[in-house]
Amino acid sequence: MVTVDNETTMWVLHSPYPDGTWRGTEKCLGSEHGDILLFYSRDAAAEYRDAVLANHFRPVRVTLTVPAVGSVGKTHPRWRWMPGMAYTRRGKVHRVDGDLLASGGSYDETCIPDLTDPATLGCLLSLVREAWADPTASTAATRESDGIGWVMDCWDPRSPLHGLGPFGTEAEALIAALEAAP
Amino acid sequence: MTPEQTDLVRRLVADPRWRWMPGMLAWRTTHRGERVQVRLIDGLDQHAELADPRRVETTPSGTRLFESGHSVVDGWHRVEDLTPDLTDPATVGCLLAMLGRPSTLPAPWVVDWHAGMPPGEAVARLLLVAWKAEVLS
Repeated sequence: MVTVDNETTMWVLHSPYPDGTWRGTEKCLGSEHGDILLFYSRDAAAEYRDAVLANHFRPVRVTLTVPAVGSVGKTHPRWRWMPGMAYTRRGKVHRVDGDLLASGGSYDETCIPDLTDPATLGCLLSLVREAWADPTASTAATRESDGIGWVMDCWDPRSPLHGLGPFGTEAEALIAALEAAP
Repeated sequence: MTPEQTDLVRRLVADPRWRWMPGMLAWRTTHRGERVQVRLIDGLDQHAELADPRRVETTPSGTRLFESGHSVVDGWHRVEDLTPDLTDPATVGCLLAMLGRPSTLPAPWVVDWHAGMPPGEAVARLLLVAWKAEVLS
């Protein structure tokens, strides 16, 4: 199994130098616990600033490299690259080229699948259905004590796939299903 | 595609809530009647750079066009002529993302199983129902 780091883009509220340049993460807005506040979009950051702060703070996009949920099998026998999947390579986002795959080409270990991308998740779901030979395999959101969880679902309640989880994210549920495939 | 499937994808893309998303696979018919596929790299709404479609522009009259570098369909074409490939896993993933997880809708696989239709078609039909019922945010 290979642990794959994942990159995600977030936004912070940053107090720049008078000339507008970056002053470091210590000049980003923090929470009451001392952590840097992160926002999912520029608009969300700006909205928070306008509602709560003096307006000299500016939304700044940051890229976070975080451990992927579990271990996706880039070397897992059930894993394969599929056309339309998104991946990052040296910090840039790309799409898997179907023509390249069809001609026998592949993607090396520097290519990291983007497990937050809907198209990639759709391909992962397809791999799970194929691995379990179950076209009804799907993910379902559940309400957990600490928030939303994700479980695997399928038509046959006797299948080990049924109710597998809960996991913190949809991608994690799909990866676990892929790894648990018979 | 069957006539019903053709009608389904036409209704999908005609809905104002439809959006082309990065990673989707689309079909278009050339002026010679050939069907060719294009993979959307950055979507059509936010960015102009696409896999085969190189650029997207809106004419003064409001028609959206994309420029294709595909050897068969080189030139400018109407975005409205694109239809999604509902058999493509990446496209299905995008449809599922559009559908979200409204609690009032059955899981897409329930529709698959009962109707015996391909996953993408099932999700597409569910999406149209959800849009019509306005149960999605």
